[in-house]
Amino acid sequence: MNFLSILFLIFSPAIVALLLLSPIFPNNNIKIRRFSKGFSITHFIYSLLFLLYFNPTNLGWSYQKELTFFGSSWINTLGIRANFGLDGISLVFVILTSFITMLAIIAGKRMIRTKTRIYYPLVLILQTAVLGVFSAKDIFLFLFFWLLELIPTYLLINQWGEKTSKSAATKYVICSFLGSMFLILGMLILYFYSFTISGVLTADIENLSMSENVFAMWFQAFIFFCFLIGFAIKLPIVPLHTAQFTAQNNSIAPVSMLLSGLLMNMGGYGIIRFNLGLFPEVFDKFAPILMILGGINMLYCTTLAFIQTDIKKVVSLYGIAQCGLILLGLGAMTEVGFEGSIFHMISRSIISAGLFMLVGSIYLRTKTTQIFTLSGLGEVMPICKNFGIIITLAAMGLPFLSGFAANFIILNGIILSDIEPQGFIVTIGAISALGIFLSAACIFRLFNDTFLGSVTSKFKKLNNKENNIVILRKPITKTEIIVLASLALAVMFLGIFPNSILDIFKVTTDVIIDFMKV
Amino acid sequence: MDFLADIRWAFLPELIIITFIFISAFLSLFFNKKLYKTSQWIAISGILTSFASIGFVQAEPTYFAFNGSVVCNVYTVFFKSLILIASFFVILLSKEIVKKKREKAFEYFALLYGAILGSLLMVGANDFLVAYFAFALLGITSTLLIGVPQKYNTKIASTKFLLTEIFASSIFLLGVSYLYIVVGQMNFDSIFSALSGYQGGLLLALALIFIVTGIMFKICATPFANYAPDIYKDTTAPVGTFLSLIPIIAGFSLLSRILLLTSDFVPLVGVVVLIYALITMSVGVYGAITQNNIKSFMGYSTMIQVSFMLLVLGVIKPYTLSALLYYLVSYIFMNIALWAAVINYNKNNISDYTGLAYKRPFYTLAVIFTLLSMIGFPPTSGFLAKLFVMSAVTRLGIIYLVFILIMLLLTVVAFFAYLKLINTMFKKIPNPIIEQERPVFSKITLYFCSGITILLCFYSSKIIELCELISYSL
Repeated sequence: MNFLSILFLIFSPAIVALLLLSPIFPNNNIKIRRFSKGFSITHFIYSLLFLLYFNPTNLGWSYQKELTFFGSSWINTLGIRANFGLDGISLVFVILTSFITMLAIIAGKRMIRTKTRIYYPLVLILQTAVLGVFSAKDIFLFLFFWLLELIPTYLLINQWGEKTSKSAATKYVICSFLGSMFLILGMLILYFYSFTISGVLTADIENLSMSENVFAMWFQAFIFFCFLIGFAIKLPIVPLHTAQFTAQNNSIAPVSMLLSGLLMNMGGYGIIRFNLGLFPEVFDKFAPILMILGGINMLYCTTLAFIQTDIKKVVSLYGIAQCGLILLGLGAMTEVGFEGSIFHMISRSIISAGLFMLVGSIYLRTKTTQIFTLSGLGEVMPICKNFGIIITLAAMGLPFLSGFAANFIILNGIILSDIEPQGFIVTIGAISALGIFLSAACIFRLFNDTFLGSVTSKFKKLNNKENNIVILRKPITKTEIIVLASLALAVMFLGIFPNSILDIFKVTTDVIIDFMKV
Repeated sequence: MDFLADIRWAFLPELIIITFIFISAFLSLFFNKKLYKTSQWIAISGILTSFASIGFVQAEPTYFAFNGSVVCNVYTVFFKSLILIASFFVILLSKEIVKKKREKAFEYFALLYGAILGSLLMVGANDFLVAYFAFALLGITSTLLIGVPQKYNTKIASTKFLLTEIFASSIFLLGVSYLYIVVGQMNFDSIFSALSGYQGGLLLALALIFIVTGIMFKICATPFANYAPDIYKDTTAPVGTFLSLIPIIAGFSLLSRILLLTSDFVPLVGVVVLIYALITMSVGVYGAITQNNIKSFMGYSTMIQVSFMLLVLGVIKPYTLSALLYYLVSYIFMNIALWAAVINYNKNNISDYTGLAYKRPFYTLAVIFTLLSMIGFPPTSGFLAKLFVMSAVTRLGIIYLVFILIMLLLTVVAFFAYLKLINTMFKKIPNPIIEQERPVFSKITLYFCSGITILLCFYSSKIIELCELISYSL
């Protein structure tokens, strides 16, 4: 498979972004949009080829490649190398990243009306950063991409959206940077104390390990929590969720899709790769605490979602609440729960992206997101409503849609868990079931209040083609149909064939869990 | 003959600089009005000649000149090249002064050469007397340079600088005299050999702390940091560029050599330096957040950057020195780039930068990359530099984690300060005013240096190897 180059997969979006920004590219909004749309579709197809040629039974990393600069490694003397590779877990996230970015770029046609010249390059640079995070094999390379993502995100939140988006962007980027500082601290300690154990100065994720009981438990726990704080701001975990929350509900729909569809996965991936992969013993000890945090996440955010009057806030709180379920699945320490968590991350990203897209479509036409002023939109936006039904039902967890499979697998994992005492597991299982019920209820309330009921007189003429006063008040457009339809299709596909995804990373997760059990 | 051989093998760059001081001073007497345009080119040719002559000195093995009071080895050659590169850019950016002060053009360059000579001497010094001579030469010429525009503000600034300098150098001398009481030597190597087997003591610790505190003046660090923002604000931008680069490089070269020789005997000095670093950082970030004048902001920014390098100095060992060297290299380019941006735009207030992203996108892009480098974001050299500094300190032991944690938290605050500038440039203003064409040198410098900043991140392997080679050669 010589034509599958991981370096091309990761860096081509950034190169295209630089091409779009450079003066040689014609300064024409339509050309920029079409070129980036074409590129992102090609990129998605190219990433699918990686899946096609991937061998799921392979225990190690596939498609490994080292990036060298002028014939030498990145920082040779310190053992830091620009090594890239994909295993089962990262592969699914890479494809998901490519998918969501493609949809965000397609959705940009309707949602982005100003400064198109910088929107598409920024999204593409963000894509490179996120792809790099998922495929980095070296901790400092991981850090490189982890920090690289912040500035495009800052500008994406800052430049479009309402007045509050400025402060939301600053808050998001400062909090993420604060988390990254803890991440750096943890990485440096891990790097040097792993050096004192093995005697080899290396930053490769495979060779780093703290599991040899050389250091005291409190010391390992300190590093563990440094990592956890860094990832908790991205995932997010209550009480560190506020930055993500404000950022998501203050930015425009495509950016919210990116935030909840890509960036939240980075936190979850980090927890799996570092906290679980490098500190299995500490993770074993603190798993109940993670489960409690997950339970709090679910109950707190869903309760909060009930009193929101802004539909965008409800959607972002739903996304954060579902992150609790991911933590619950990881904390259960069973193979089923672990697989369920990863599956749920994918399913949640797609559902959240779909919900944000629906909110964006509604906002484009009604210029409001207040729940009390909206009602009966199903009458005037029938196609939007039909897609809304599918995505909402998936969010509520109905069978044959992705939400059901994810929830079911995770609950299964929690019940199978052998954490003592048994009463704790039963309580946590009950809490997670309650959380799933509550989040289903809040999403149903959202659907009920916006699409069902009788339409307000203010919005009655929304469907009227003769109403030319506001150009945006048009019936649903092709781009929106494409985005919503592909999200709905993805949701149905994941719900009917969950095994197609589970099989990709089953071997990798089994290895990690077996390593932990021994 | 011995004297001439010393000059040939160790003193060539300085000799050329001295020659050019005389040339500039002579030309300033008669040809100011006619030849002022050539003054910049003469100055640049002097720097280039001096830089070329570095290739002809004896670096390996170490050469001791003038009875061991001046040293020439790989370390000094490295620092001298850094100083000459930085001075090249300072002269390139001085176009504004040459244009405005025609009758003072040659005088300005003669003074600048004097300051460069002082810093070169400070790098090569192997004796506290030579070090003090360089210290004073650099101080006096800097004082005069600050006063070149001869306005009310610059006169105040120059007086302020002189007073602080006198105070700092007297503390430095006090430390030297204490050290002389303990050891009875002035030469660095003799001091080192006399100290081996020395059991430590309060007087020695006090002496070293005084010496270090005195040099802190040169590198804009606590307790003498407060002069930087005020003086940068009052003087012209090229002199600000000079002050934030050349004395700092020279100061770090002297400081790291002194600390490398003595820190094993007096561990207390390292702790004092670390505390200085934290205080400098706190003052720097506090000032940078509340500042609205771009030149003062540059002063606080210098303090923030210097405190990272001080963090390495606190734990200096042959294997941590390379982090400091890499940081210095990256600092030079990012600092020059940011000053070039300030000179290019030629406005004093940060609020004047509003909406620049829509008027001058490429200028903004270059400035953003430079600012990201200052904070420590990829893909810039600042990211690696800060990573190396942090890893150097982590390597030393678990006690230093407290310092790292505080430093990292302060970095977040510094990030906020730099982000404010980025945010200002992206603010929308209703009617963009079309700007006239700006000086071309500063524009080229800005793009070149910010490009280097990005390149250093990827081409780091060779640079790190060079830095390690230099650190272990000492």
